[in-house]
Amino acid sequence: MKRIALVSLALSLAPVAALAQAVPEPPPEDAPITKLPKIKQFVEAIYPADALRDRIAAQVVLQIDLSAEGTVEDVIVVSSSTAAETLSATTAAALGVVRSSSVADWGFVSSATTAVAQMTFEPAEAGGVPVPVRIPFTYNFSLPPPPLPPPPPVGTATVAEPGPGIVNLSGTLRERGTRTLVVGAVVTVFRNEGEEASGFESVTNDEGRFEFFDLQPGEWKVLAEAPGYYPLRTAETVVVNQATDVTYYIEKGSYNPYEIVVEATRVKKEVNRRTLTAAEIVRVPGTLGDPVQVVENLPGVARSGGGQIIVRGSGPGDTGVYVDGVEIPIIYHFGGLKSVLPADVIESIDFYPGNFSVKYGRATGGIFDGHIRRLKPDQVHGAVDVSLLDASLFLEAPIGEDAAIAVAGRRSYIGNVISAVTPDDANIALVNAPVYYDYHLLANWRPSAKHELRGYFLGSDATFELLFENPAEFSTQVQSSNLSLGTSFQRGTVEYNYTPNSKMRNKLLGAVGHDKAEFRFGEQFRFLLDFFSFQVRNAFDWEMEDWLTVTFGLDYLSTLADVEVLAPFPPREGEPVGNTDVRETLFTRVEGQWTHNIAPYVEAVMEFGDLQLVPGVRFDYFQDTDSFSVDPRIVARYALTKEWTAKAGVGIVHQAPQPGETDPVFGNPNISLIRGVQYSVGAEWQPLDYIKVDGTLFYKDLYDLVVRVPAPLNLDNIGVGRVYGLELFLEHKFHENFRGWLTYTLNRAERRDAPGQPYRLFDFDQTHIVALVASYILPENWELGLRWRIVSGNPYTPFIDAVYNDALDQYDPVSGPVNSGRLPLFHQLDLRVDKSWVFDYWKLTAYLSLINSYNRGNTEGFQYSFDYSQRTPIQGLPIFPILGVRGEF
Amino acid sequence: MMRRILALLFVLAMSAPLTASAQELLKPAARQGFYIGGGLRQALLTATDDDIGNLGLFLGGGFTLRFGQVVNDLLGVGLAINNTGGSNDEWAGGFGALSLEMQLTPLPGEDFAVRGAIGVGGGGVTRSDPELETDDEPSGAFGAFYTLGVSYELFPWYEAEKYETGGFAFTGFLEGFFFPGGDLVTGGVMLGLEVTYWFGFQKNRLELPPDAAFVED
Repeated sequence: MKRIALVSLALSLAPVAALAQAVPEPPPEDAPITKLPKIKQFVEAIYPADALRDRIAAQVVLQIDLSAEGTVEDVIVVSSSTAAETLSATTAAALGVVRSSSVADWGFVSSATTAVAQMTFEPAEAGGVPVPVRIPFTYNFSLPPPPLPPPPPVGTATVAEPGPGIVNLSGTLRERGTRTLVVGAVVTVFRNEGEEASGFESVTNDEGRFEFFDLQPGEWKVLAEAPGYYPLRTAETVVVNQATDVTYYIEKGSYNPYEIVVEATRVKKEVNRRTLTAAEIVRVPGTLGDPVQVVENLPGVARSGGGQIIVRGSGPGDTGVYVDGVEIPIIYHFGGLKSVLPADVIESIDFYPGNFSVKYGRATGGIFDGHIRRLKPDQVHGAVDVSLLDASLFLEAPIGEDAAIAVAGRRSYIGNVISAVTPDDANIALVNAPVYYDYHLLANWRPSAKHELRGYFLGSDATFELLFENPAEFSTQVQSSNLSLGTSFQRGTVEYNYTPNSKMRNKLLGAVGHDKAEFRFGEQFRFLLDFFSFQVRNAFDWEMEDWLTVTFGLDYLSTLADVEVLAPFPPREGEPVGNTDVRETLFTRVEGQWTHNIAPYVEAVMEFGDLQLVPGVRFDYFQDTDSFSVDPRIVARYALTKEWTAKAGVGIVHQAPQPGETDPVFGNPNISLIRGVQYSVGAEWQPLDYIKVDGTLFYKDLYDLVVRVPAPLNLDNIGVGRVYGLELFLEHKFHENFRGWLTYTLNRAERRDAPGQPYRLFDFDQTHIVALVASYILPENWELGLRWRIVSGNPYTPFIDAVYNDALDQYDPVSGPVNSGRLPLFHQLDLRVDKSWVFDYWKLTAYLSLINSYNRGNTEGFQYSFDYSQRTPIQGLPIFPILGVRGEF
Repeated sequence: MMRRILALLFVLAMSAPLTASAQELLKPAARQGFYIGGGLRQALLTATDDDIGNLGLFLGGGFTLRFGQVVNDLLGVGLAINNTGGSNDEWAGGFGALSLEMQLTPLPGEDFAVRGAIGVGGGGVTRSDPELETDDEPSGAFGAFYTLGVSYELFPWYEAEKYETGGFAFTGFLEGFFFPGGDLVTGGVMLGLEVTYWFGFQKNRLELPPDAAFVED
């Protein structure tokens, strides 16, 4: 049964004189009222028991003197009459209203004045100054309507039979743009009838519905109001014997993209876990709305500039990249412009710069885990995004009440733009313009609170082909003129969550993947990879005691690979580019090679008052190196006060050598695991709900790093490394239309390539990393954002001389000490502006992202003259505008 | 279940002015809502090339297209497209720019604004006489583009009594610009006149007397 509130009221149009001013420096007597008073706290009058018993309704007209503070100073009874006098006889009869000639006799007047005297108001203002005023106020006492007649049969005309209590104006109130039902809004219909006015009021129910009974024929003015929304004013014509059903769309004052439903705050079990929601990710300037690029703005992450994630001085391949716990081979499409995960399919990302849980392994750097959206659509929703770079589509729909499905896809065309602007006389021609695309299928089924089934399919593809008109211009060693690159992969994942009771939860996940990569440089080099992967994960959480929750888990990954490589020995970390003789190629072929990795783990979360301990241990078996590892880890968090938390962690991590490093031709089949020990200690301070400050000191030892040694070994585990530093993170969560964060990382990452050698700087050692990210939501659905980064330049190995090589007819550079030079300071400001237009059924957003807004020429490396006597800086991306539009419904 | 009825909330919002006739709602300002405008400008600019040095003063002109929205009493946001060219005895040049524009209204309700923009521009200079060209001619310019200036809007047909906002306006402005386009740096001042159409506010965003509140936009 729908909930209906029916109001009868009298509109008094008589002007009310302003009272004497009671505030300092009152505005002039004739100063106009610029703000009308509004009820702040309504007090309901007690319906006189006798009148209720006898079904007596009444109306009490009052005048209220309001103070400049909004309190009721005085209540004057103007008149009392029956509500039936403002209603038609039919309606009055329908409501069972009995006319009463003496309202006061029933106690209505005293009840109304008592209630009104307790109300408070937002004061009226004149010229911005609160002023006392006198206002008319009518209090109606109405009896509930009789039961509604049965609804007309489905499919018939909505013609209401004449009679008492017939709904002849009803409707649904929805939010403009999102079509969300608006609950608790007040819908009022009214009109003047001679000197008086009559009106009715209804409050929308849980289904956004409102209804009015027995409105007299003719035109009625309609006002719909809800907190946070602009009022909607319109008019409806009520026709005799006809029910009118309408749908109104009211516009929100501000469509805040960061307004997300917080289901529960996840208890923090790590020293550092940064969680970003999709809404936060999308509008970070300079990241092109990419979930992975945002990570580069978090503490502990170095600027890579090329689609790599470099965490706390670890190599790009040392950070685990997961999608809901499933490893994926490539997180970026080529060039690092966009990741393979569009924001539409992402719910949030978790990033761990170190000391991560034992559920993650096979990585000595950090962990990136993207979480796929849990679909909960109440109706079909979709989005289309078109920018200068690419276009994407997302569509989700409910299937019954327990299931939902979504598809998403994206294709780039930036390559076509590059191709179009490449001069005809350029030495490079794009045979196939760079193109990337990815496609996604998501599904949820939750038949009951205990069971949930989720599926996700991800596919990614990227290709391009270049033709060099004169390859010798680049190097005399280059013999081919055609370069092509193609990568693709697919992952299919099924996840089953079983929650038998509030103490236990099991998550079983299976994934199958296929990866393909093909790189060719004419006949001179090639790299062909065909790779299948199978992954199974299971985690069983058991709350054994109030203070103890234990997770038993298993992480299994196997791969089947076919690989063929014809290439020179690739340069390794710490080796200067430019010394490789690309004519000395090696060849290897691996067919049908299986590897199996299995890792059981157990982790406990123990709560002792303000102290939380999270010990865990992970056992890994790596078939590729036939190695076992044991990784014990522990994290402690202690709540010093309500605002302060101390935290610390230590743990051992292991990682297999990179693919290819165990190859007998390119590597060494006898090399073993890389080991790391991660330490961190710090504190968190949260003085306000929306302000958080986090400081962490970290130290990391790396052992058995794989470094180059003379043939025949090629590679060996004789390198070590150490990384230490400080991370500061000041976060302002969304509050008062502002959100943002400021991070500072002080960092030193060093490597030692052989025993007895001195430590040198790591390739991506960046001493100071500062990132400021801020967004402000303006009225009218505008949003401004900026990202400003200041980062120390990367180290590089300078060339100090050159020697002429007769055989190759070229100069060979002579390198100085490894990484003894440093590129100039990097700094860049990125701006973004978004503007949304809200229509009844959908929303349109246009955005302009201005990357490198002040066109800083950041040096990313050097280009040398033929004899290495001169060099010119290679500069990064200049100022670059990206325009785009996004439609959502 | 019995319902007790609240009346009147909307009486407060919808009824006639609360006080004597002199106490009326504030009339809304004309400069509200979206705007779109365009106009012509005169420009006095100078350019400096890294290799050649200062190229002297250029006199010229150009056009502007602007669109955006005033978002509150103080601030407006929009995009601006500029094209400006000029020449002197020896050189001729020009540039175009796409900018993110912001306007500040220091006196709310008034039609005076301070406006500035940041964006991306491209352009270049050439010899007025091609026969004088050498091998070391200035290269093209590409880079960030900045403007800062003031403007005043004149609404000749605005009638505040109708509680309507927006309308046509003549916009006069004076702006300085700076265009560090790599090897070629340009700067100068622009004086111009634009015709701007302001779309105004929808009436449901204004506090209005009842006779105006339900009049269709």
